[in-house]
Amino acid sequence: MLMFSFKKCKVENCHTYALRDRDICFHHSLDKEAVIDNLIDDLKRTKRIENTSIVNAEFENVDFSSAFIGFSNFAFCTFRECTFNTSSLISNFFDYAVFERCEFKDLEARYNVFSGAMIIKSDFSGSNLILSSFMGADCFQSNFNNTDLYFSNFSLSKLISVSFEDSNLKRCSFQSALMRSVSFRYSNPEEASFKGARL
Amino acid sequence: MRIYSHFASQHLINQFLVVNDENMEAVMIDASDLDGKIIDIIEKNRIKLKALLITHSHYEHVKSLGTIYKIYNPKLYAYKEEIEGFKTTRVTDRTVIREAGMDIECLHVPGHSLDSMCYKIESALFTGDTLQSGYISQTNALVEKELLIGEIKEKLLTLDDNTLVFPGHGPLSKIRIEKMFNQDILEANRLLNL
Repeated sequence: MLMFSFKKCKVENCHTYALRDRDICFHHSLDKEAVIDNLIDDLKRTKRIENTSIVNAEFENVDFSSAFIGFSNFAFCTFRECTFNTSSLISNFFDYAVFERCEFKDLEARYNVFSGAMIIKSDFSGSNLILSSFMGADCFQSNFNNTDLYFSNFSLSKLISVSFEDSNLKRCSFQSALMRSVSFRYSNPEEASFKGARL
Repeated sequence: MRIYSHFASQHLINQFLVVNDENMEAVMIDASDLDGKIIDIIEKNRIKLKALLITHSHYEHVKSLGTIYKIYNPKLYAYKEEIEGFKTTRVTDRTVIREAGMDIECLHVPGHSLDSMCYKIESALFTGDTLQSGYISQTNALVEKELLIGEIKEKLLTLDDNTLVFPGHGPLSKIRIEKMFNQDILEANRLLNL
Protein backbone atom coordinates (compact mmCIF):
# COMPACT_ATOMS: atom_id res chain seq x y z
CA MET A 1 0.00 0.00 0.00
CA LEU A 2 1.13 3.51 -0.69
CA MET A 3 0.61 5.84 2.22
CA PHE A 4 -0.56 9.42 1.85
CA SER A 5 2.21 12.02 1.79
CA PHE A 6 3.61 12.85 5.21
CA LYS A 7 4.41 16.36 4.06
CA LYS A 8 3.01 18.84 6.55
CA CYS A 9 1.14 22.04 5.72
CA LYS A 10 3.58 24.90 5.13
CA VAL A 11 1.53 27.36 7.18
CA GLU A 12 3.36 28.16 10.39
CA ASN A 13 2.29 26.07 13.41
CA CYS A 14 -0.04 23.93 11.31
CA HIS A 15 0.78 20.25 11.85
CA THR A 16 -1.86 18.88 9.47
CA TYR A 17 -0.77 16.78 6.51
CA ALA A 18 -0.77 18.69 3.23
CA LEU A 19 -3.11 17.87 0.36
CA ARG A 20 -1.67 15.55 -2.27
CA ASP A 21 0.74 17.43 -4.58
CA ARG A 22 0.16 20.65 -2.62
CA ASP A 23 2.07 22.52 0.09
CA ILE A 24 -0.93 23.31 2.25
CA CYS A 25 -3.66 21.37 4.02
CA PHE A 26 -7.36 21.47 3.15
CA HIS A 27 -8.10 23.92 5.97
CA HIS A 28 -5.61 26.46 4.63
CA SER A 29 -6.46 26.03 0.95
CA LEU A 30 -8.35 28.91 -0.59
CA ASP A 31 -10.21 26.73 -3.09
CA LYS A 32 -11.85 24.20 -0.78
CA GLU A 33 -14.81 23.58 -3.05
CA ALA A 34 -12.55 22.94 -6.03
CA VAL A 35 -10.49 20.48 -3.96
CA ILE A 36 -13.62 18.51 -3.05
CA ASP A 37 -14.99 18.72 -6.60
CA ASN A 38 -11.70 17.36 -7.98
CA LEU A 39 -11.73 14.52 -5.51
CA ILE A 40 -15.30 13.59 -6.42
CA ASP A 41 -14.59 13.90 -10.16
CA ASP A 42 -11.59 11.59 -9.76
CA LEU A 43 -13.76 9.19 -7.79
CA LYS A 44 -16.44 9.14 -10.51
CA ARG A 45 -13.87 8.62 -13.23
CA THR A 46 -11.59 6.06 -11.60
CA LYS A 47 -13.65 4.64 -8.73
CA ARG A 48 -10.52 5.04 -6.60
CA ILE A 49 -9.33 7.35 -3.86
CA GLU A 50 -5.79 6.60 -2.79
CA ASN A 51 -3.03 8.25 -0.82
CA THR A 52 -5.10 11.32 -0.13
CA SER A 53 -5.17 13.46 2.99
CA ILE A 54 -8.14 15.76 3.33
CA VAL A 55 -8.85 16.81 6.87
CA ASN A 56 -11.97 18.57 8.17
CA ALA A 57 -13.87 18.53 4.88
CA GLU A 58 -17.63 18.07 4.46
CA PHE A 59 -19.22 15.59 2.08
CA GLU A 60 -22.95 15.46 1.54
CA ASN A 61 -24.83 13.01 -0.64
CA VAL A 62 -21.65 11.67 -2.20
CA ASP A 63 -21.70 8.22 -3.75
CA PHE A 64 -18.50 6.38 -2.72
CA SER A 65 -20.06 3.00 -3.51
CA SER A 66 -18.18 0.23 -5.35
CA ALA A 67 -14.97 2.23 -5.03
CA PHE A 68 -11.53 1.43 -3.71
CA ILE A 69 -10.58 3.84 -0.94
CA GLY A 70 -7.15 3.22 0.48
CA PHE A 71 -4.34 4.63 2.57
CA SER A 72 -6.06 7.96 2.98
CA ASN A 73 -6.64 10.38 5.81
CA PHE A 74 -10.16 11.77 6.32
CA ALA A 75 -9.75 12.79 9.96
CA PHE A 76 -12.34 15.26 11.29
CA CYS A 77 -14.38 15.08 8.06
CA THR A 78 -18.18 15.11 8.02
CA PHE A 79 -20.12 12.68 5.82
CA ARG A 80 -23.87 13.22 5.51
CA GLU A 81 -26.07 10.77 3.61
CA CYS A 82 -23.08 9.29 1.79
CA THR A 83 -23.02 5.73 0.50
CA PHE A 84 -20.00 3.44 0.65
CA ASN A 85 -21.86 0.25 -0.31
CA THR A 86 -19.74 -2.62 -1.72
CA SER A 87 -16.57 -0.53 -1.50
CA SER A 88 -13.12 -1.64 -0.40
CA LEU A 89 -11.73 0.42 2.44
CA ILE A 90 -8.13 -0.42 3.32
CA SER A 91 -6.00 1.37 5.91
CA ASN A 92 -7.88 4.67 6.05
CA PHE A 93 -8.06 7.15 8.90
CA PHE A 94 -11.57 8.45 9.66
CA ASP A 95 -10.70 9.46 13.22
CA TYR A 96 -13.01 12.05 14.79
CA ALA A 97 -15.14 12.06 11.63
CA VAL A 98 -18.92 12.43 11.71
CA PHE A 99 -21.08 9.98 9.75
CA GLU A 100 -24.76 10.82 9.60
CA ARG A 101 -27.21 8.57 7.77
CA CYS A 102 -24.41 6.86 5.83
CA GLU A 103 -24.55 3.40 4.29
CA PHE A 104 -21.61 1.00 4.42
CA LYS A 105 -23.36 -2.19 3.29
CA ASP A 106 -21.27 -5.12 2.08
CA LEU A 107 -17.96 -3.35 2.60
CA GLU A 108 -14.62 -5.09 2.38
CA ALA A 109 -12.73 -3.17 5.03
CA ARG A 110 -9.61 -3.74 7.07
CA TYR A 111 -7.16 -1.67 9.10
CA ASN A 112 -9.50 1.36 9.13
CA VAL A 113 -9.55 3.81 12.01
CA PHE A 114 -12.88 5.30 13.12
CA SER A 115 -11.62 6.24 16.59
CA GLY A 116 -13.42 9.16 18.19
CA ALA A 117 -15.93 9.25 15.33
CA MET A 118 -19.61 10.07 15.70
CA ILE A 119 -21.75 7.53 13.84
CA ILE A 120 -25.43 8.37 13.64
CA LYS A 121 -28.18 6.32 11.93
CA SER A 122 -25.64 4.51 9.75
CA ASP A 123 -25.71 1.00 8.38
CA PHE A 124 -22.66 -1.29 8.21
CA SER A 125 -24.64 -4.49 7.61
CA GLY A 126 -23.10 -7.35 5.66
CA SER A 127 -19.57 -5.91 5.87
CA ASN A 128 -16.15 -7.30 6.65
CA LEU A 129 -14.72 -4.83 9.16
CA ILE A 130 -11.72 -6.74 10.42
CA LEU A 131 -8.89 -5.08 12.36
CA SER A 132 -10.79 -1.81 12.53
CA SER A 133 -10.77 0.64 15.40
CA PHE A 134 -13.97 2.27 16.66
CA MET A 135 -12.28 3.16 19.93
CA GLY A 136 -14.02 6.02 21.70
CA ALA A 137 -16.61 6.30 18.92
CA ASP A 138 -20.15 7.42 19.68
CA CYS A 139 -22.66 5.27 17.76
CA PHE A 140 -26.37 5.98 17.80
CA GLN A 141 -29.16 4.07 16.08
CA SER A 142 -26.77 2.25 13.80
CA ASN A 143 -26.39 -1.35 12.80
CA PHE A 144 -23.49 -3.73 12.39
CA ASN A 145 -25.65 -6.78 11.63
CA ASN A 146 -24.09 -9.69 9.79
CA THR A 147 -20.62 -8.12 9.95
CA ASP A 148 -17.22 -9.68 10.54
CA LEU A 149 -15.61 -7.62 13.31
CA TYR A 150 -12.64 -9.93 13.92
CA PHE A 151 -9.96 -8.14 16.01
CA SER A 152 -11.87 -4.84 15.92
CA ASN A 153 -11.94 -2.46 18.84
CA PHE A 154 -14.97 -0.65 20.32
CA SER A 155 -13.34 0.06 23.68
CA LEU A 156 -14.45 3.27 25.43
CA SER A 157 -17.15 3.70 22.80
CA LYS A 158 -20.68 4.82 23.50
CA LEU A 159 -23.19 2.51 21.82
CA ILE A 160 -26.84 3.47 22.01
CA SER A 161 -29.50 1.56 20.07
CA VAL A 162 -26.88 -0.30 18.07
CA SER A 163 -27.26 -3.87 16.86
CA PHE A 164 -24.56 -6.48 16.27
CA GLU A 165 -26.84 -9.34 15.22
CA ASP A 166 -25.45 -12.46 13.57
CA SER A 167 -21.96 -10.95 13.59
CA ASN A 168 -18.50 -12.39 14.20
CA LEU A 169 -17.12 -10.83 17.39
CA LYS A 170 -14.07 -13.05 17.81
CA ARG A 171 -11.26 -11.06 19.48
CA CYS A 172 -13.43 -7.94 19.29
CA SER A 173 -13.03 -5.58 22.25
CA PHE A 174 -15.87 -3.69 23.95
CA GLN A 175 -13.77 -2.87 27.01
CA SER A 176 -15.14 0.03 29.07
CA ALA A 177 -17.81 0.70 26.45
CA LEU A 178 -21.09 2.26 27.50
CA MET A 179 -24.00 0.32 26.00
CA ARG A 180 -27.73 1.00 25.96
CA SER A 181 -30.19 -1.04 23.89
CA VAL A 182 -27.45 -3.01 22.19
CA SER A 183 -28.34 -6.34 20.63
CA PHE A 184 -25.90 -9.22 20.12
CA ARG A 185 -28.56 -11.73 19.04
CA TYR A 186 -27.14 -14.74 17.14
CA SER A 187 -23.57 -13.37 17.53
CA ASN A 188 -20.70 -14.73 19.62
CA PRO A 189 -20.16 -12.18 22.41
CA GLU A 190 -18.49 -14.93 24.49
CA GLU A 191 -15.47 -14.59 22.19
CA ALA A 192 -15.31 -10.81 22.64
CA SER A 193 -13.92 -8.87 25.60
CA PHE A 194 -16.33 -6.81 27.73
CA LYS A 195 -14.04 -5.97 30.65
CA GLY A 196 -15.28 -2.81 32.35
CA ALA A 197 -18.17 -2.38 29.90
CA ARG A 198 -21.29 -0.76 31.33
CA LEU A 199 -24.35 -2.57 30.06
CA MET B 1 7.08 6.04 0.89
CA ARG B 2 4.95 2.90 0.69
CA ILE B 3 3.99 0.80 3.65
CA TYR B 4 2.85 -2.74 3.01
CA SER B 5 1.18 -4.50 5.92
CA HIS B 6 1.00 -8.23 6.38
CA PHE B 7 -1.11 -10.01 8.98
CA ALA B 8 0.73 -13.10 10.18
CA SER B 9 -2.27 -15.13 11.26
CA GLN B 10 -0.42 -17.78 13.26
CA HIS B 11 0.58 -15.32 15.99
CA LEU B 12 -1.79 -12.46 15.01
CA ILE B 13 1.15 -10.18 14.26
CA ASN B 14 1.28 -7.17 11.94
CA GLN B 15 4.43 -7.15 9.90
CA PHE B 16 5.36 -4.13 7.78
CA LEU B 17 7.47 -3.52 4.73
CA VAL B 18 8.46 0.13 4.27
CA VAL B 19 9.54 0.95 0.75
CA ASN B 20 11.29 4.09 -0.48
CA ASP B 21 9.50 4.97 -3.74
CA GLU B 22 12.52 6.70 -5.18
CA ASN B 23 14.87 3.72 -5.22
CA MET B 24 12.51 0.82 -4.40
CA GLU B 25 14.69 -0.12 -1.47
CA ALA B 26 12.94 -1.31 1.67
CA VAL B 27 13.20 -2.13 5.32
CA MET B 28 11.07 -4.79 7.00
CA ILE B 29 9.73 -4.39 10.51
CA ASP B 30 9.99 -7.74 12.33
CA ALA B 31 10.47 -11.18 10.88
CA SER B 32 7.38 -13.03 11.96
CA ASP B 33 6.44 -14.53 8.68
CA LEU B 34 7.76 -14.90 5.15
CA ASP B 35 4.96 -16.42 3.14
CA GLY B 36 4.07 -16.23 -0.53
CA LYS B 37 2.23 -12.93 -0.13
CA ILE B 38 5.26 -11.02 1.14
CA ILE B 39 7.59 -12.66 -1.36
CA ASP B 40 5.12 -11.71 -4.12
CA ILE B 41 5.12 -8.08 -2.99
CA ILE B 42 8.92 -7.99 -2.89
CA GLU B 43 9.45 -9.77 -6.19
CA LYS B 44 6.64 -8.26 -8.29
CA ASN B 45 7.62 -4.73 -7.27
CA ARG B 46 11.34 -5.46 -7.65
CA ILE B 47 11.94 -4.31 -4.12
CA LYS B 48 15.43 -4.56 -2.67
CA LEU B 49 15.16 -5.52 0.98
CA LYS B 50 18.06 -3.71 2.60
CA ALA B 51 17.40 -4.05 6.32
CA LEU B 52 15.40 -5.86 8.93
CA LEU B 53 14.40 -3.88 12.01
CA ILE B 54 13.56 -6.09 14.98
CA THR B 55 11.20 -4.59 17.56
CA HIS B 56 12.08 -7.26 20.14
CA SER B 57 13.41 -10.78 20.19
CA HIS B 58 10.32 -12.75 21.24
CA TYR B 59 10.15 -15.87 19.09
CA GLU B 60 6.92 -15.04 17.27
CA HIS B 61 8.43 -11.75 16.03
CA VAL B 62 11.65 -13.27 14.71
CA LYS B 63 10.74 -16.80 13.75
CA SER B 64 11.34 -16.26 10.01
CA LEU B 65 14.61 -14.46 10.57
CA GLY B 66 16.70 -17.34 9.20
CA THR B 67 14.64 -17.66 6.02
CA ILE B 68 14.60 -13.93 5.31
CA TYR B 69 18.32 -13.73 5.98
CA LYS B 70 19.01 -16.64 3.67
CA ILE B 71 16.99 -15.26 0.75
CA TYR B 72 17.61 -11.52 0.99
CA ASN B 73 20.61 -11.15 3.31
CA PRO B 74 19.44 -7.82 4.78
CA LYS B 75 21.32 -5.89 7.42
CA LEU B 76 19.87 -6.75 10.82
CA TYR B 77 19.16 -4.06 13.41
CA ALA B 78 18.08 -4.77 16.99
CA TYR B 79 18.74 -3.76 20.57
CA LYS B 80 20.38 -7.10 21.32
CA GLU B 81 23.75 -8.02 19.86
CA GLU B 82 22.56 -11.42 18.73
CA ILE B 83 19.13 -12.85 17.89
CA GLU B 84 18.49 -16.50 17.07
CA GLY B 85 22.20 -16.95 16.42
CA PHE B 86 22.46 -14.00 14.02
CA LYS B 87 24.77 -11.08 14.79
CA THR B 88 22.99 -7.74 14.69
CA THR B 89 23.95 -4.13 14.35
CA ARG B 90 22.98 -2.78 17.76
CA VAL B 91 20.70 0.22 18.03
CA THR B 92 19.95 2.04 21.24
CA ASP B 93 17.71 4.89 22.28
CA ARG B 94 17.71 7.88 19.89
CA THR B 95 20.05 6.18 17.42
CA VAL B 96 19.34 7.43 13.90
CA ILE B 97 20.23 5.06 11.10
CA ARG B 98 19.94 5.52 7.37
CA GLU B 99 18.76 2.55 5.35
CA ALA B 100 17.03 2.30 1.98
CA GLY B 101 17.52 6.06 1.63
CA MET B 102 15.34 6.76 4.67
CA ASP B 103 16.26 8.17 8.07
CA ILE B 104 15.06 5.83 10.80
CA GLU B 105 14.89 7.01 14.39
CA CYS B 106 15.22 4.22 16.94
CA LEU B 107 13.51 4.54 20.33
CA HIS B 108 14.19 2.16 23.21
CA VAL B 109 10.91 1.51 25.03
CA PRO B 110 11.48 -1.32 27.54
CA GLY B 111 8.73 -2.92 29.61
CA HIS B 112 7.15 -5.68 27.54
CA SER B 113 10.72 -6.92 27.08
CA LEU B 114 14.01 -5.28 27.93
CA ASP B 115 15.02 -5.07 24.28
CA SER B 116 11.80 -3.48 22.95
CA MET B 117 12.44 -0.92 20.24
CA CYS B 118 10.17 1.40 18.26
CA TYR B 119 11.20 2.75 14.86
CA LYS B 120 10.05 6.08 13.45
CA ILE B 121 10.26 6.70 9.71
CA GLU B 122 8.94 10.14 8.73
CA SER B 123 5.50 10.30 10.40
CA ALA B 124 5.08 6.54 10.74
CA LEU B 125 5.86 4.99 14.11
CA PHE B 126 6.27 1.22 14.29
CA THR B 127 5.66 0.27 17.90
CA GLY B 128 6.01 -3.53 17.95
CA ASP B 129 4.85 -4.79 21.33
CA THR B 130 4.91 -1.52 23.26
CA LEU B 131 1.99 0.75 22.36
CA GLN B 132 -1.04 -0.94 20.79
CA SER B 133 -4.28 0.65 19.65
CA GLY B 134 -6.08 1.34 22.95
CA TYR B 135 -3.83 -0.52 25.35
CA ILE B 136 -0.21 -1.27 26.13
CA SER B 137 1.41 -4.63 25.62
CA GLN B 138 1.44 -7.26 28.30
CA THR B 139 4.17 -7.17 30.92
CA ASN B 140 5.35 -9.80 33.37
CA ALA B 141 5.04 -7.65 36.47
CA LEU B 142 3.55 -4.38 37.68
CA VAL B 143 6.95 -2.75 37.92
CA GLU B 144 7.52 -3.48 34.22
CA LYS B 145 4.08 -2.11 33.38
CA GLU B 146 4.95 1.09 35.23
CA LEU B 147 8.26 1.24 33.33
CA LEU B 148 6.51 0.70 29.98
CA ILE B 149 3.87 3.35 30.61
CA GLY B 150 6.55 5.83 31.71
CA GLU B 151 8.64 5.18 28.59
CA ILE B 152 5.60 5.44 26.29
CA LYS B 153 4.56 8.73 27.86
CA GLU B 154 8.07 10.15 27.65
CA LYS B 155 9.13 8.95 24.21
CA LEU B 156 6.00 8.22 22.16
CA LEU B 157 3.20 10.43 23.41
CA THR B 158 5.48 13.46 23.07
CA LEU B 159 5.58 12.96 19.30
CA ASP B 160 3.33 14.98 17.00
CA ASP B 161 -0.37 14.17 17.49
CA ASN B 162 -0.72 13.28 13.82
CA THR B 163 2.00 10.61 13.92
CA LEU B 164 0.58 7.33 12.61
CA VAL B 165 0.98 4.30 14.85
CA PHE B 166 1.62 0.91 13.24
CA PRO B 167 1.50 -1.57 16.13
CA GLY B 168 2.66 -5.17 16.24
CA HIS B 169 -0.88 -6.36 16.88
CA GLY B 170 -4.37 -5.08 16.10
CA PRO B 171 -5.66 -1.96 14.32
CA LEU B 172 -3.67 1.15 13.37
CA SER B 173 -3.83 4.34 15.36
CA LYS B 174 -2.48 7.85 15.80
CA ILE B 175 -0.70 9.45 18.76
CA ARG B 176 -3.68 11.81 19.30
CA ILE B 177 -6.03 8.82 19.56
CA GLU B 178 -3.78 7.05 22.07
CA LYS B 179 -3.55 10.15 24.23
CA MET B 180 -7.35 10.30 24.38
CA PHE B 181 -8.42 6.66 24.46
CA ASN B 182 -5.58 4.38 25.56
CA GLN B 183 -7.11 2.73 28.60
CA ASP B 184 -3.88 1.68 30.29
CA ILE B 185 -2.46 5.18 30.03
CA LEU B 186 -5.73 6.80 31.14
CA GLU B 187 -5.84 4.44 34.12
CA ALA B 188 -2.22 5.23 35.04
CA ASN B 189 -2.92 8.97 34.81
CA ARG B 190 -6.00 8.53 37.02
CA LEU B 191 -4.00 6.65 39.66
CA LEU B 192 -1.28 9.31 39.64
CA ASN B 193 -3.90 11.99 40.24
CA LEU B 194 -5.46 10.22 43.22
